[in-house]
Amino acid sequence: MRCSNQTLLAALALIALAGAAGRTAAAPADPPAGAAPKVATEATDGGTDDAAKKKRPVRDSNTCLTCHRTLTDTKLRVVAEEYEHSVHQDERIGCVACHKGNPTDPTVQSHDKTTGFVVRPTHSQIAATCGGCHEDPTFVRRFNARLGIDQRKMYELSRHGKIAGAGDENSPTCTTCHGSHAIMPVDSPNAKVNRRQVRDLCAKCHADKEYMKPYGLPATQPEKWSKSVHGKAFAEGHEKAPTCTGCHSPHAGTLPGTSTVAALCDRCHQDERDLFLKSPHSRAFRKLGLPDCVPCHGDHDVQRTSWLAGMAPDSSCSKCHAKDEKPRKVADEVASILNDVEGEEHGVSVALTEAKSAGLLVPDASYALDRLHTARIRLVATVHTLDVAQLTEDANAAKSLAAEARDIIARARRDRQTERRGYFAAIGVLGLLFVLLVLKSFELARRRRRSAP
Amino acid sequence: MVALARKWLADRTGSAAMLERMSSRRVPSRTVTHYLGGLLVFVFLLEVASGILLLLPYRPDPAQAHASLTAIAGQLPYGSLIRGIHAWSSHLFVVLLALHLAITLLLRRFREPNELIWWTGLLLLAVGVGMAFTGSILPWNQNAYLQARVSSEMIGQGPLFGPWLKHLLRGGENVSPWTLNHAFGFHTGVLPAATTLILAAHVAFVQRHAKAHDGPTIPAHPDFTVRIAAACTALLAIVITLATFAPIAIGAPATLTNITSAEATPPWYFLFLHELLRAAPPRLLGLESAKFILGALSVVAGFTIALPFIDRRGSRITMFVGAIFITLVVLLTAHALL
Repeated sequence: MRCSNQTLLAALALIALAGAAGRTAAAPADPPAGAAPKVATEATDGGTDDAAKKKRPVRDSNTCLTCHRTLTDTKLRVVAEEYEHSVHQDERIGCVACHKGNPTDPTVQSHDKTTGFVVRPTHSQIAATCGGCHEDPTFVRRFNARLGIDQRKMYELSRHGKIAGAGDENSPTCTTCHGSHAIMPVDSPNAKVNRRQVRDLCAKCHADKEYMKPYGLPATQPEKWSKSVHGKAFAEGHEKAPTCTGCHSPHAGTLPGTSTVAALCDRCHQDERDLFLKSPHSRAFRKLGLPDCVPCHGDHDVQRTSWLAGMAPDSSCSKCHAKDEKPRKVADEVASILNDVEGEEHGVSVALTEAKSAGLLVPDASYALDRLHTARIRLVATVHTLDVAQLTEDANAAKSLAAEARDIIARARRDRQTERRGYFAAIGVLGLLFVLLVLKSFELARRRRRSAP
Repeated sequence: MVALARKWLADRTGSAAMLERMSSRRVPSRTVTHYLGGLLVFVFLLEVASGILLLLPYRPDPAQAHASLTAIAGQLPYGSLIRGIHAWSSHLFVVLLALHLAITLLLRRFREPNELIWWTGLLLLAVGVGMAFTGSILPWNQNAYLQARVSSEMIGQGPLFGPWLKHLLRGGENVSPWTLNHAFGFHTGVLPAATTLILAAHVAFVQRHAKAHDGPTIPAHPDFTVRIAAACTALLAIVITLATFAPIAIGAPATLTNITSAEATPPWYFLFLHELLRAAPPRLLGLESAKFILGALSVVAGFTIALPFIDRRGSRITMFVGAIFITLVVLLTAHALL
């Protein structure tokens, strides 16, 4: 019994010692100058010290962090903290990947520039620094097999890259968008380049009038996008709605195979483009050298067509056709057809909601409304042809669907009324029968009393 | 002419003699059980009538059931009324049955010579609950599907015939399209036929053994007939009012995916059991609590069946124990509902 107690004590003492050894090894508080402490890595092991057999955090091979984590100068401490939460937080990358120097030397001599240490890569060095790893397929593959290796080449083709190449220190480089230490994967919600944050990221420069002046660019695009159908759809939670990078490729600026704006819209709006090519606008725009979609829709501030058509002062048509007789007529016709069908859809949808809340079962009306909605979407696409005859035909088809839905609802309401009338008639009959039976029962009771001895 | 026709019919059917016999019989003038019994027969007939009307447009197929019911309620003239009558009557049927039985138990009417009346009554309760339950599966909505799963699992925990009954209800090892087929077959064929036969026997035994009661009596016909007709008229008015102004929703069609997140509540007549199971610790006396509780209930059911032999005199102890048991069931059900 006592023997086993002693063994226990010995074991406890050993564990305590091991813990202390671990702590001192992990935090070399004041090492003798020039003597590098033994650092455990994956490859080498303490060996002699039994306690060191416990695998230590791999991070400690990066002694930059050992000190920088504890520094009182916020600027110097934060870089370590940011790095530790970044996508680069991996001992195979480490601080030295960008800053060079000797990470196993925990003395200030490791900051000696003669050893190759870089305090901060200059603006012109950054792309090359990132490219050092990101253009190396075998290296990138070790971490993320799906990551591209053409970002730097793309960037150099883009306008951003070109002005940077011309020595413009104000131009954006890798770290401008991605950050330098707190770099996150693009699908991380905290990443500045994430779809949800990217508009604000671009706006940092592109909404700044002063900043854009030298480049002759307006600073209105982010604001315009937020007010556009795309921006609104994205704000409403449609994750597929295009943000800045939806049309402007993140690194190259232009997406592959999109030499014109129209070709860009085409990526999602194919039907509209095909229909547009049949319209009189198509030839006229080409003659005037206008980009297909932009004259009517704008580029960043794309709006719904039903607000653009017609001859209202702020409509698209009045921009060019304020004084043209025939186009004005077409514009008015198109607008009135669109408004008609939109009104029909709204009316049916209200009627259906009312019917449902009254407890009527009208699944066929819901189905007709769905088809009406589809017809209206198709109608909006057909507007691109400017073919009034075709539009009228489509609109009539849509209106007949609306009429169908209304008929179904009206019939359900009539049936409901008939049933209600039937109910009250039945209750009347039953009430009368009940009264008669009760009277009869009393009569029988009287008769019983009379016949009772 | 009318008199001639009536005589012709009476000579051939013996209806006059039957009325004669009925008039000579007497019924206690203050009795709830007779009224309840008469109402139950009426509700059953109402169920058969509305059920036949629903049977024609309903399609017992998992892909069609819910849609056909929506069509019945939404498109057929008076369809939602017929369905409402059928659904509400089924709930009323179970309520009235339970009341009928409870009163019979508390008044100790199971004694000699009423044993057969008692047993056919108990059988009718089992068959009635079976009809309500199989009927609740037929809409094949999400709740029906979950109920089918959970309730049949519950029944499978019962002793002796439990697993066999579960297999029969499910139409196989699991709830599947066959479950709907079985429910439909039982609900529209087996159980109504069984009810008809047992009810006929029950009424025949009542007619034969209605003991001369203490207290005032009235002739069964026309006096009691008129009264029960008035009660049935009132009940019909209540049922069509409920069906018109408190329609029972058909609910969303069953989707057999993503069902773990939904909580299945059993039909209200199983709620007391549900509450017991929820409150019980996982194991009781070394058995799984579900098995234990169902076993205990089966023992209670056995006692109930054997009552005419156990309590030949109809002692007050039976009334007392029965009252406690009924109160417990009512309280548990109320607790689950409120």
